[in-house]
Parts: sequence; structure tokens; C-alpha cells
Amino acid sequence: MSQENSVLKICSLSKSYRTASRELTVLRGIDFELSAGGVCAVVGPSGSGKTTLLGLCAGLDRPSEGSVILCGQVLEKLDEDGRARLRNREVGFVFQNFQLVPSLTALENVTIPAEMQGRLHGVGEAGRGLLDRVGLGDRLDHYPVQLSGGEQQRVALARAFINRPKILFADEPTGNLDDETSECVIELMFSLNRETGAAVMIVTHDWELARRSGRVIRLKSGEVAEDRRFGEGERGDPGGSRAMGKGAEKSQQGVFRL
Amino acid sequence: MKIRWVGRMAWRDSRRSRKQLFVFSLAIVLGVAALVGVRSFRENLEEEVENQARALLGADLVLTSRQAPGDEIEAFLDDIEGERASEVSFTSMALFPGPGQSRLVMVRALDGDFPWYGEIRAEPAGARQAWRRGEGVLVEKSLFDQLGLAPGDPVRVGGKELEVAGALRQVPGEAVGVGQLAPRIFVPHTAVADTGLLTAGSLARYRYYYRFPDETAPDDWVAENRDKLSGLRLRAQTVEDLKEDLGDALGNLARFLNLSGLVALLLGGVGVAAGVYGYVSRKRDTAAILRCLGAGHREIFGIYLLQGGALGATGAFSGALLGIGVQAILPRLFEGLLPVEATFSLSWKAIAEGLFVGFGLCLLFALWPMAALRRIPPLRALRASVSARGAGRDPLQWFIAGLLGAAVFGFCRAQSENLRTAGGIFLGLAAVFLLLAGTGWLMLRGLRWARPSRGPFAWRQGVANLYRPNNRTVLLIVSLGLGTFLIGILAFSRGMLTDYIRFSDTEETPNFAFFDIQDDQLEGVRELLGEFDLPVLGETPIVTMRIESIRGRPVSELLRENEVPGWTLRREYRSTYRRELTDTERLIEGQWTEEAAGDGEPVPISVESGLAGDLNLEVGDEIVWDVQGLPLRSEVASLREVEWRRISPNFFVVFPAGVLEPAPKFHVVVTRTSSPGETGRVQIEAANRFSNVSAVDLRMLLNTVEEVLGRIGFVVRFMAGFTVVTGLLVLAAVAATGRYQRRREWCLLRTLGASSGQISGIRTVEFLVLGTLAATAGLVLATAGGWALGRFVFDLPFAPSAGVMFGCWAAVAGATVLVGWLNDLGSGRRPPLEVLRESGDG
Ligand SMILES: Nc1ncnc2c1ncn2[C@@H]1O[C@H](COP(=O)(O)OP(=O)(O)OP(=O)(O)O)[C@@H](O)[C@H]1O
Ligand SMILES: [Mg+2]
Repeated sequence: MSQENSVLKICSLSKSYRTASRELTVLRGIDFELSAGGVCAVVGPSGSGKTTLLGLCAGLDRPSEGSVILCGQVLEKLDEDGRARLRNREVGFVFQNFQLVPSLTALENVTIPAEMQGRLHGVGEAGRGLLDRVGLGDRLDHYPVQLSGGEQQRVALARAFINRPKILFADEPTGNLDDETSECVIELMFSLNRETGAAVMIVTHDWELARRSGRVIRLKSGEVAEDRRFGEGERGDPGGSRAMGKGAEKSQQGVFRL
Repeated sequence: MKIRWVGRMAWRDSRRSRKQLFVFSLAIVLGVAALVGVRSFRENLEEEVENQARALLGADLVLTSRQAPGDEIEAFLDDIEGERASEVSFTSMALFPGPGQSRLVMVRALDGDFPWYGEIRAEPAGARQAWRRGEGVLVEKSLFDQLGLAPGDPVRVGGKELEVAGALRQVPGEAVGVGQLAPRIFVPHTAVADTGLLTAGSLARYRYYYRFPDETAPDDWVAENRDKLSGLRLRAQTVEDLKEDLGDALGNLARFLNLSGLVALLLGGVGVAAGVYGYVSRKRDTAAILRCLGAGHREIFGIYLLQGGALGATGAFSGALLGIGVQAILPRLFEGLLPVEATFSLSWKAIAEGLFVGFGLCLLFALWPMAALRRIPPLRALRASVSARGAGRDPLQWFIAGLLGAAVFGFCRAQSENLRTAGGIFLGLAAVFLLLAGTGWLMLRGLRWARPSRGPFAWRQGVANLYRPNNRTVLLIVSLGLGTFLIGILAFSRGMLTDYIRFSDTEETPNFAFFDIQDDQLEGVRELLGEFDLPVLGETPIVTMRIESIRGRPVSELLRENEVPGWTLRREYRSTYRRELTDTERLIEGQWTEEAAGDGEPVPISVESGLAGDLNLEVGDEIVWDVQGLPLRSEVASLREVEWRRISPNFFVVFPAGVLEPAPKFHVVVTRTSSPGETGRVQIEAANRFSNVSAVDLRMLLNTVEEVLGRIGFVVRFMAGFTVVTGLLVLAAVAATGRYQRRREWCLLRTLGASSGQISGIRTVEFLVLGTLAATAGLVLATAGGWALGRFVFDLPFAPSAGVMFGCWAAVAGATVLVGWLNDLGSGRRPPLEVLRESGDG
């Protein structure tokens, strides 16, 4: 894979947190690369450092060691605002708990990143188009509280693609959704990935989803335990039943959260 | 920074919280209103003073003397170029046979065309002309109304029977309030001699009014004749002097009123900060999301800066509007206490100043918590537990806090004469806030410690709610407690003074006094009292005298040098002589002399300590007195502290027995009557027998004092009311931020099966306990303040009244519960599901 072609390149990335008593190393010597339009899933047990890794890749935090090159830019060389600008232009986000701005309507939530660039013309059009695309063309003026979890996540997806990002980061995007809704959201995510050519890095507990990504990076205690590519038709199933159990538990939580 | 985007986001983001932000902004409304109102009021008055300046004095120059004009003065007065009018005035009894009452009045006789500017106003029409023609008397309107007089009624002053012409409404330069202690009566000048009241030794004031020809500037004239004036003991007043005096008085008044405005504004600002803090803590997620989506620090800060600015602008603007209303009310509060009639007109300067101060303070107070959003890390969107990076506060917050402190200090400085007072006010404010916060905190700790683990569910839950994170309980205690403190300390002071007056009104204390009794009338007065079966509770001889020189330096020289207050040198001293100290006096320095030998040595006298301070006197200093023409050498032998408030004859200077007995003197006799009716009968009889003796009902004076106290108290209460209402608005602001959290809790409780009765029980308990804590904190401080006032200012024993305490508590706790209920109105009816779905924001 050439340098040109890679949207995300990570070299010997380490992250440790200084707690009151000792230093806690969460990630240790991570290396990997993601090519343009590629999809990769990050899996691993809870606490293995998946979210930490995603945050570092998106420039939401600074690594203790190593470097992250995102869309050709060395993140360590940018300041906070520089990284923010880069995120705005090249990165899309989907979170486990949707993270819509509660005081904005669906359409306004979708158009924030575009408007933030100072674009005003055609932004509404683009937002409406994307909401149509995710099947929410008739919910433009609804506030997050008036939408179900699945609908909120689809608004978040539309928002993630409004600036035609080169890469999408998703942290357990289906973690709070039931199976059927998850399927719908994932379907949408993959088709948007194909249509726009955006690379996708997705953190998940859902083995089914991971398998469909084509590439799975398994983290264990902060290290890459496995970096595996799946060919067509290949099916692995380590810990599948556990993933199911976890999913059931999550959807229970989802009901409680309403 | 993308300004348009920031503006648009600020607008949209506020969409679901505008009502709440508006409630926050209300907290500063009253503070701004007070500032604008007071400032406009002051400006209007100043303008009025400027416009009416000459009419205020009625003349170009007024000379005042305390002694009957001798040849020297006459010659000097005759030499002054211009038109002249003269006036003599003295206090005396006036008997109104119609209603059968007699009153102590200020008799004034004017000879000449004064005033040349402005006019003496009287009613009905024609009354003034009748008085000018020498056909009638003008009686102060308040007394005229009180006694139900009508034109043509008889009135007796001294030995002269006169006719009432009408009611006196206004004299240039004199506030109505001035006339209240002794109402004014204008008699024809030709009648003065016939009253027989103006004899040598009687206390009279002589005034000479001048109108100068156009080319003479009054102030220049005064400057040129300064030495002569002080040599003749004439006090000069020009329009400029009057304006200066009025300006000083107005300035002091405005400063006091402004200070209450500042307290209300500060309190409101703290409320804004607390409200915004709650608001901001619900905006953290939004800020993190926006950061994730690529917004920079400055954009995030810009969004909330705009919202804070809008908040400040709304509050300041509403406050300014309300301030215009306050300005309309203030003149009514001060009615009769001011020398000019305040008109109502908008002062743009005042409005601009109020807007600026209100907006600035509100914005700073709002920005302090908002600054925290600037540092929200985007990572928070991924992991909710992530809070602001790094320990400690954002330097921006320190900067804002510093700016706030400087702004408040600057305001204090602008409101006070010098840096020391400003510092004192600033520290005093800080101390009150801190003490209230400390008391509140301690009580909360105590309550938590004492909280019974058993007890009704509603009680336990309601109390627990006070400890809810972000509940700002201490802050609420401060804001509600501050109002309670002010109201409490007012009520306590008033109680102390009225208690004292009531206490003084006991069997042994006199309530009726005869003044100006001549030597040969003394026996007659004793007889009169005997006839009415009244006791003689005290007899005091009084000798009038003036200071001739101090330590060998003549008064005229001392007056020229202007080192000591002029009144202390010019005044006529009414001194007494006796063997012992009274129970209102205390010797603080030197030796008390019972009797002097009268062998030509200087007479050892005792001087009141305050006067000694004014005159820079020390024990051993020599004073030569002019006792009605004869010089008398004396030496300050002791200094006394006198409790002036006690209603008994008190004196600046006391001579020992054995020296003054032969001097011309008059006497004061005090007694006690059992009813006002009896007093009236004795007064009339006394007026019939001794035309020159004033028989004064002391209870009437007490009433007047109480009335004045009440009036001033009302003004203070009005301003304290601003603080109380602001406290409630702060409560509303803070309650509004906790509203969603509370709603969720109730829904959860309802889901779990709590009855609506239990839920309203919980919220009542919560606010009732909060109100009680606040009232207690305020009252604790008010009690301490009351004690300090009693100890150091009034010198009175302080016993906090349970009634006042209960009243304050009931009012504050009641209002708190009410505001709490209003705030949560309607939450109970919404379906729990809907509420639980709502996210914290909104
Ligand atoms: N600020 C921090 N300080 C100390 N330790 C932290 C901090 N943030 C994360 N950690 C630790 O880092 C480890 C990895 O956390 P991370 O959230 O990346 O795990 P994860 O793989 O995303 O888990 P999950 O599947 O539960 O989301 C955890 O043990 C966590 O406790
Ligand atoms: Mg995670």
C-alpha cells in the first residue's frame, strides 16, 4: 500500500494514563494502516483500549508515544484547532450514544459540520438529500427527543457524511440498538462507504459486523493480538455466542435509557 | 472564527432554553433598575437645583446672625448696596383657642420684599397678601390641617392675639421636612414687639436678605468681606453655597441608594452565575460534540459569549425600563424631605450607565462558568466520564474573576468619597457574603449530620434533595439570606429605638416641659403644677452665653482661620450650673468641681467631649465667655460624655455652683402628665398666665421623631425590598436549572409508585427547609449586626424580638416555597415517559 493511498497510518502508538498511584498503559506499540475506502473493525474485550485507539486516530487525544498520520497530516504537529479543522474537513463520526445536539432539529444537526466551514448555499439541500437517503426525509424538523434510537443514529450517519469525509470513525454504532435496527444502520453505513469511498474504522462487539468489514483488528490488553483479513465467504466465529450475550445486555440497557 | 456560523449556532442552541435564560437575566433586573432609577432621580434633582437655583435661596445673599443687631452690625448692613429684607425668628408656644391646643412653633417675622426670586406659597388665594398687609398669620400647612384651622381663626403668640390668614405651603430654599419639629408660623413683623417674646437673652435668629444690583457678583462680595463677616459673626450664604450644600446632600443620598442597587446587582450577578453554571453543565456534551465535528476553542467560546451577551443585554434592558418606573416612585418616597420638587424626565446618561454596568457585570458573571466550556475536550463525546483537561481552572476564568473583582471595586470607588471608604464597602460586602455562605455551609453540614435516618419518606427525601449535586444550596442560602439580613437588621434597629422610647415613657420620666421661665415666674410655674397636682420632676437654670476667646485667641480670629466648625464658635451656648453629674453624664477626663470659690480665679467648667473634640479643647485650656455683656474667665476642668438621646435637659457646658447664680437666667421645669388631655389643659392655663413660657408636650416630639424614623426607614425598606425580591429571582433562576433533574426524579419516583401527595410533600419540604436555612443564616447575621449596632452606634441594650424573627422566617420560607411551586408548576401533569425521554438539555 502506497503512502498516497492510505488515509490512516499508525506507527508504534502507545498511550498511558497517569493515575494517582501508578502509570497505566492502555495501548502499547500499535501499528497499522488503513487504505482509502477500506473498512476495518476493531474488536476486543471491554477495557482493551478500543475507544482509546479510536480517539487517538481521530486526534481527539494525544498519544504518549508514536504517531498518527491522518489524511496525510501528522497529527502531533497540529495544534488543537488545527486538528479540529482537519476533523471537520476529512472525518466523520458515529457514536454509540448518537451524540446529537439536543437543541437542534434533525436537519440542523446534519448540517452543522458543513455550516461550520462557512458554507451556507446548498447546505440545506445536501442535508435534506442525506436525510432522505437514510430514510428520514419526513423528520427534518424533529428534535432528537422526538426520534427513536435507531432514527437518531441514522441522523448521526447523515451528519457524518455531509462533508464527504475521507474516513468515518464509529465507536460501537449499534451498541445501543436492537438487532433489526442495527442491521439497518450497518447496511446504510456500508452503502454510504461504497458510494462516497470513505474509509471506515469501526469499533464493535458485534462479530457479525466485524466479519462483514473484511478486516478485523483484535486488541488484547492494549496490544494488537490479531490483524486478520477475511476473503469472500470465509467465516470465523470465535466468541460469537459471547457477542450475542453482550448484545442482549446492551439492548436491555437501551430500553432503560429510552 | 466563523462569525456567522457562531451566531447561528448560538441562536439555535439557545432555542429550547430561551425561557430559562430569560429567567436568569431577571436576576439582575432589579439591580439595574435601582441604578438607573437612582441616577436619573439624582440628575433630575440636580438639574432642578440648577434651574431653580436663585429661586431656591430667594435672594442673592443671606446673612444669618444669632445675636440682636448692634450698632456695628447695623452700620455694616446699611453699607451693603442693594435691596434688603430682614427677618427675626424664634421658637415659642402658639395657642389656638379654636381647637383648644397649643404648640411649639417657629415664629418668623419678615420685613421687606423677600423673596425676589421664587415665591412664598400659601393657600387659600389671598392669604399671602393678607399676611403681607400685616393682617394675618400663615401657619405651616401640616399644622393647619392637623388642627383643622380656617382663615379667620384666632391664634395667640406670646401676649398678642392674631388672626390666621391661611396655610403656608412653601418658602424658597426650605424643605417642608425642616419645619416639622417646630412648624413655621409667619407673623406680621409689626406684631413681634407686641408678643413681648423678644427680650434680651431669648434665643432668636436674625436674617438679612439682599438683592444685589446686576453688576455685583454675590460670591465675589462674600470673598471681599470675609474678614468683616467673621468679625461680626455673620454667616453668609449665596446661591452657589446653597447649591454646593444641596449637591453634597444629594450626593450622599444617591450614594446610599446606589449602594443598595449595587448589592441587588451583585446578588443578581451571583444568581446569573449560578444559573448559567447549571445551564453550562448541561451544555458540556453539546460542546464536546461540536469539538468532535471540528469546532475550535474560540468558536465554542464565541457561541456562549453571544448567549451570555444576549442574557446580559436582556437583563440590563429590562432593568433600565423598570428603572424608569423606579424613578417615578422615588420622588414620592422623599416627599417633603427635599428642598426642590423633583420632576420626572428621562436621563439618557443614567440609562446608558445602568445598561453598561448591568450588561458588563451580568456578562462577566455569566462568562465565568461559561469559560469552562472552552476547555471541554472532544474526547468527552466518546467517553462521558472525561472532564476538563488538566487540574485547576482555566486561566480565562481567573482573568474573568479578576475583572469582576476590579469592576465591583471600581463601582464601590465611584460611590464613595475616598479609597478607604471604597475599600471598606468592598470588604464589608465581601464579609457579609462570606459570613452568610459560611453560616449556610455550617448549617448544611449540621443538618446532614443530624438528619434522622428514620422519619417520613417525604421529609427524608426533601432534605436529601438539598445535597443534590449542582443544587447550589449554599448559594441560595446566601442570596435569600442577604435580603433577610437587611430586613432583619432594619426591623431590629427600629425595634431597639422604639423600645427605648417606650421604655423612657415610664412613671419617673418627664413627658412635659416648661421652657424659658424667668426667675420671677418660677414660683408661679410651681404653683400652676401644684394646682393640677403634677410633680416637679426637675428644675434647671439656664444661662445664655457666647464664646469670646479660647486660649487667648478671639473668636473672630479663630473663625477666619477656619480650623474649627463655625457653628461651635458662633452659637449661643445655653449653659447650666450644678453640683453633681446627672445620670445621663459620665466623666471621662479631669476633675469635677462642685462649687467654685468665685475669687477671680478662672471658673473650672466641664465640657461635653464631642464639642471639646470639635473645638480642639483639652483639660486646662482657658475659655473666656461673654455672659450677656460681661466677660467670664473659665478653665476646662473636665470632659463629660453625654447621652444626648435621653429626654432630659442636657448641656454642652456645665458650670459649678456659686458663679452664675446672679446672672440673668431662665429655667426649665419638667413634669409628667397622665394624659394628652391633661397636657392640653395645663398648656392653655400656662399660656394664659405666662405668655413667654413654652409648655412643650415631649410626647409630641417623640411622635415626630418616630415619624421621621419611619419615613427614613421606609426608604431603606424600599431598597432592601430590592434585595429580597432579587434573592427570590435568583432562587427562580437556580430552581429553573434544576427543574429537569427534579422532574426526572419525580417521574422515576412516580414510576416506582410514589403518590402525588408524597411528591408534593417532598418538594414542599425541600423548599421549606431551604427557606428556613436561609432565613436562619440571615437572622443570625442580623442578630450579630443588631447587637453591634446597639453596642457601638445606638448604645442601647439589644434584645432580638421573637416576633421579628418569626415574621422574617415566615416571609422568607413562605416566599421560597411559593417560588419553588411556581417553578415546578405543570411538571406533575406531564406523563413520566415524556419526561424521562427528555435529555438533560433543554
Ligand atoms: N483518563 C483515563 N485515566 C485512566 N485510565 C483510563 C482513562 N481512560 C481510559 N482509561 C482506561 O483505559 C482502558 C481502556 O479503555 P477503553 O475505553 O479504550 O476500552 P474499550 O476497549 O473501549 O472498552 P469498552 O469495550 O468497554 O468500551 C480502560 O482500562 C480504562 O479504564
Ligand atoms: Mg469503548
